[in-house]
Amino acid sequence: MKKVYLLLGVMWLIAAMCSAVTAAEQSFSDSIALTSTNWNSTLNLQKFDPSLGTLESVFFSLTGYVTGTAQFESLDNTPATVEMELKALITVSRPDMTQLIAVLPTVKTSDNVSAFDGIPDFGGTSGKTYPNINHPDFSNSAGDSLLILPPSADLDLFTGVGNLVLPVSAIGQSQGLSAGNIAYQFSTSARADATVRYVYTPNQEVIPEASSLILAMSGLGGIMGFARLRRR
Amino acid sequence: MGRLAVLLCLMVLLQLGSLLNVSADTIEHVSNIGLTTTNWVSSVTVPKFDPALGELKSITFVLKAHVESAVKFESLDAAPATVTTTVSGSITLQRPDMSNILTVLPFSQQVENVSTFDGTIDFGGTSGRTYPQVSADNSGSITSPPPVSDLALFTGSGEITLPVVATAVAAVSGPGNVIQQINTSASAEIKVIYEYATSGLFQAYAITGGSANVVDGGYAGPSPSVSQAVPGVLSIDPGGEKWPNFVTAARVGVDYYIKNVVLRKTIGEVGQCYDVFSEIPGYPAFNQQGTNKIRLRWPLMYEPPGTTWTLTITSGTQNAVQLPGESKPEYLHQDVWEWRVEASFESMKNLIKMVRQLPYGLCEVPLISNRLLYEQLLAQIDKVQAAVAANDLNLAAEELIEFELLVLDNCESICPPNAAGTYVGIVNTLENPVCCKLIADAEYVAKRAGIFHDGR
Repeated sequence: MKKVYLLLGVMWLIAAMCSAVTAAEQSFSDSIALTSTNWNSTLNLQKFDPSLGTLESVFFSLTGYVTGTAQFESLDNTPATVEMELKALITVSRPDMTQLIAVLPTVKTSDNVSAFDGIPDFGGTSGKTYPNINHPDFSNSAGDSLLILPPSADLDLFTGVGNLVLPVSAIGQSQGLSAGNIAYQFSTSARADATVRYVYTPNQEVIPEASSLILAMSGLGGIMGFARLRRR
Repeated sequence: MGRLAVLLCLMVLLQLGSLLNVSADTIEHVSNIGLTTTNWVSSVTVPKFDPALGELKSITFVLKAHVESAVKFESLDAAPATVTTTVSGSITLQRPDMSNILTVLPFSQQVENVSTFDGTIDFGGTSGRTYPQVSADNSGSITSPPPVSDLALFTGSGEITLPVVATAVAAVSGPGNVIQQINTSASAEIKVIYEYATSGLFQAYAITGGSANVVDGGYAGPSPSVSQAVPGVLSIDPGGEKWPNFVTAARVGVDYYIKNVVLRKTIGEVGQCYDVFSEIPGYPAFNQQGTNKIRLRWPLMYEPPGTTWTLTITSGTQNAVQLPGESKPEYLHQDVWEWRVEASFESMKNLIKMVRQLPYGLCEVPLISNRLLYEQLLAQIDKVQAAVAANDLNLAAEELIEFELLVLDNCESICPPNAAGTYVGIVNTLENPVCCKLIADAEYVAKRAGIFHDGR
């Protein structure tokens, strides 16, 4: 019985001390505003300051958006189904231009139209125009994220003083599928939002948290109980 | 009348002259549909196979499709781009009931790399292209049967119209900023090839020439000929004592002598009235042997379809000679010729027309004595043909059974019509087995057209 009290007390103390070392986080974001594709730009994200502690992991997320104007006029002499698709391949690279992460937001349309109505106006019964397709709610987004853990060299890339400058590009693509007589016009824009979150162990003294104090007190209680039993 | 008889005899002999070639022959019909903007639905009309030429064995359809696209685009992108344009055509040849016979799929693809937008939307320069004529060709062929109903569908007088449907699909992909336009047209060439056996003989042939044998319409004047068909005759012309018309050695100028000549007649498979058609009761086949003992004329009027004559001539040469068709030099040679009696809906109608003009001996009434019955018989065959053409074989079977019942209900073996003159019908005696002949023909044709089979 005495040994049990002693063992529990020691375990509780160790647990309380360990839980007191809590990981900390920092997040930074940058965006590329809606721009006509194709574009090349850079994201400026603050690096992790090593004076704050030890960087344990980096969580990088990228969300891409695509919008634009898509229009068609079916020139066919029979009714037709016309499908259009706009997408943008948004790629974030490391400074050495190797790819870090990429997303492909896509928007699609499908319309049944009549035979050519005689007027090539991208409207009427045989044509259609989608201005600023689905903008501004940006429902046509695609996101992806990347978790970087040791021993990745990318941890070093994200560590240092100042900003990390990451090249980012957006390549627009358009597609159309229809009967054999058709006219299309596409214009595409894309936007990119990036966020980096650093998880690190702070370089500072351990300040036990409330829960840790309770555990520690419990451990001390266990040791005192053991001492009382021994006196008897 | 004497001149008429000579004319009719010549016509039949001319028909048989071409029938002596036992190899299959072909007739080809080519139709074109010009370049037309897709999508389009058009048709081609081709003559049906004339059953007087023989037995239609198969139909080969050849479809050559051509798709032509005018493609232009202008990339408005701020970076060099690749623009891909794909046009897929689909051209389908159909039967009159719109079921597909054959589809071919021409395909073209243009892949172009262009610069960043050059500032001018002219579908040219460094960022645009114009191709007024991007062509894609494809062809395919198919031989029918199957389905066996095609043989009946494409056989007969007149023409058959086949729908042709052309569609095109355009797929484009390019940069996010681009203008594209595609215009597509398609053309088609349709070839229908009838392959037929020229060895088929028919019991009766339609008269296609003029005739002095007219109906006197009284005050209305003369009407067209009453004679519409004549009996078929297998007439064999040996060409001389040594049968040079049928011996290969004679054809290539090699001296030969005849060792034997055999003509074997085999009665076709007959379901009903078998005893009527068996020349020697109980024996479906018999031989005639010896140069001078071969009968050279065989009237076909009452021959059941499927009956064949096989002429086998054995000849010898002084030296071993390799004649055309032989694998090595031989002293003995054999030529085999075969003729077969066929029946079709058209030949049945010819037969009915013919017996309508032939007398029941001295009774002087036609073998089909009643005009109304005569017209009903022809109309009933038309109904069967129409059902076959519509590919409704169940209806065709019903109509054909109606035809058989119409024949059987009107068979008569009494001559002349009784004193009251009430006997009318179709003569059916051993000398003039018209009823049996029509029933045998009907069942033969029904099997060939797929109307009657084990499951129906």
